[in-house]
Amino acid sequence: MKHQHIIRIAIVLAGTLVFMWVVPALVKLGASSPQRYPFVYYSSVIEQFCFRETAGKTTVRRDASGKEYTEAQFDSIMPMLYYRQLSVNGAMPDSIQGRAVTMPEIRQHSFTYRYTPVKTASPSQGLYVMYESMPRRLTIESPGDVFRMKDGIAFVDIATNTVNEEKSALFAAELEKRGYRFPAQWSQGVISTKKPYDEGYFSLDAEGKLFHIKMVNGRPFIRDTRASDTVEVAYFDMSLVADKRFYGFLYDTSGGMYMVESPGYRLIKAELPPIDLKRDEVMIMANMFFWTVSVTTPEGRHYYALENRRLGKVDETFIAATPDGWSKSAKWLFPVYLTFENHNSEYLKPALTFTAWTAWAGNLAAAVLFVLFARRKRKNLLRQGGYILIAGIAGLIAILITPDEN
Amino acid sequence: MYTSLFYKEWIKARKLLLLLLVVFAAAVAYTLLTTIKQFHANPVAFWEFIVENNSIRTGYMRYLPLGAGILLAIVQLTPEMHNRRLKLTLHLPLDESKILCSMSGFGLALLSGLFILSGTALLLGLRIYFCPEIVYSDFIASLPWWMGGFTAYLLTVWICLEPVWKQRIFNAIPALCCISLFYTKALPGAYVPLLPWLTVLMTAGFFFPFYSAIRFKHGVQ
Repeated sequence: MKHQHIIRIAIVLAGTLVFMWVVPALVKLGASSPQRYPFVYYSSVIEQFCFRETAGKTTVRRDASGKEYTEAQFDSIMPMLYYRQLSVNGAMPDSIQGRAVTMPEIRQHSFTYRYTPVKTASPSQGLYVMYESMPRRLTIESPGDVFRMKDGIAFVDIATNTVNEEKSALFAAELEKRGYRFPAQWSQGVISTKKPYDEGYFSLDAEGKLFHIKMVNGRPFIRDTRASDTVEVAYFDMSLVADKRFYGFLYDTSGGMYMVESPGYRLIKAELPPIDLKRDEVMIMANMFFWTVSVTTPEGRHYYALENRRLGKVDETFIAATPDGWSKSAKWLFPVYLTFENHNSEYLKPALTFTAWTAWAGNLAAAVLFVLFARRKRKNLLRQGGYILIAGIAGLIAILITPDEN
Repeated sequence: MYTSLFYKEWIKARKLLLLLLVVFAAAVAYTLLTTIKQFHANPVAFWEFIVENNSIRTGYMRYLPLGAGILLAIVQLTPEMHNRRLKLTLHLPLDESKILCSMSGFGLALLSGLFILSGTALLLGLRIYFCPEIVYSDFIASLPWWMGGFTAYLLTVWICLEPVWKQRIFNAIPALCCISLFYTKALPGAYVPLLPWLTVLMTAGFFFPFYSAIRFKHGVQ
């Protein structure tokens, strides 16, 4: 039988790749720990960031100057967050920042929003449901069809599993009339009957124009948002808020984040540094006075306080990430490791991660130990030692479990 | 000569093939009947659940290709390794590589037939009730499982042909890791960037049994 040498090399290489994935994954499982950040919220009373940190059974509540608060004091400096508790205790103020506040008003203007990179790195079937945006009753009802939107728009009737030609033609004609060019790049909306109201979809056409598409009284409602006149649209994330102040958040290709106002599609830029959609997580906790925006990056978590009307920055702070056991050990054990899963993406794909040059010391130690202990049992000792020097622990295991040629 | 070799493999595998046909047919029928029942209960809610959650219907088939691949390799190779009968096969007046290729090729052909038949029946059945996007989603979600079946077959052949028991365990460690790659929980379509790499792995797996056979031929014990 031929090619014994080549087949052995293939087995060692495959084994090395497997152990470059499995061994670091096992070490990571045992040594990594999630980053713990305190709860941070911008107080509309003292106009400072306030921090609540729990360690074991102790909870420390403090402001940015380091002053500590009791639980009741903490509630009173953050009425936009603890208004229900304050109301029960009879401690809810009548006005804040010179403006009268009521519980319904606070509820109406408060919202939370979260962006994670998975939102832009997730496979989609390419099917959507067009709900009636002005339903006769309060609840949103299923229309009995779904639609595809790629090279054209087509509604598929669920009962018959056939294309509803009439409805498809109606929407296609309106899209063409409004200047929508196929193929669509993406469409984004909320597919659920449990949402408070419907705003249809925002869709990026072939020319990079962002369109608003929905169904009103059974008829197509299509508008060019004109967002592409001022920015290069990268992603739109629909957000359904109680006061219907905006449609959602638009991100441009340079990382700018904008609120798309409703109605009118006016863009209001949030005064934030560029956001990397593939890496950063964004969390907004907003109230009628300020938005507390946290942007989590691999280096740590940035907090920004934005004023509610113009989204201008009023304050910022940063908490650095603390290195865990995995990041400390990886830079000594694995110069390079292989992963297939990534918490920033739903897709599975191989990725090589380089840690630090210090890990080559571990490779050298593995190679020396191999040469010392295997010198009487192995052929081509130096060549295999050299391979271990390059491939490290993964290469060592692959060589040890693959028998020498006869 | 090839006809005789294939006939020998057929005798070893025919009972298992019948069993696998029954199991795969039952799984396809069960999947289709469950889906049809759910569809008729509330078609609109069922479709919307699928679209909203990007869910699939082929989950019952998940580990069947894996089981089929492993069992077929064991059924084909165990009689050969018993009393070292493979030596007789390797002494036939034919190149050993060709003998091994025909043995593995026979197994791969049987698996291909089984997988294509059951996969096609399942997807055509689903197409009656669902649009192409949903059926494609089912196909792309289950494709790594079918590929995992072929890879499991080839790696089991590699392990079975190995003459030394300790080495079989060493071979099984990376083999298990490789196979687990095909069965990671993921959304339909999530495997698309990984499929070319899984194809390379599957192709490389075809050649691994040759190394065990060489060791067997050289009388390693």
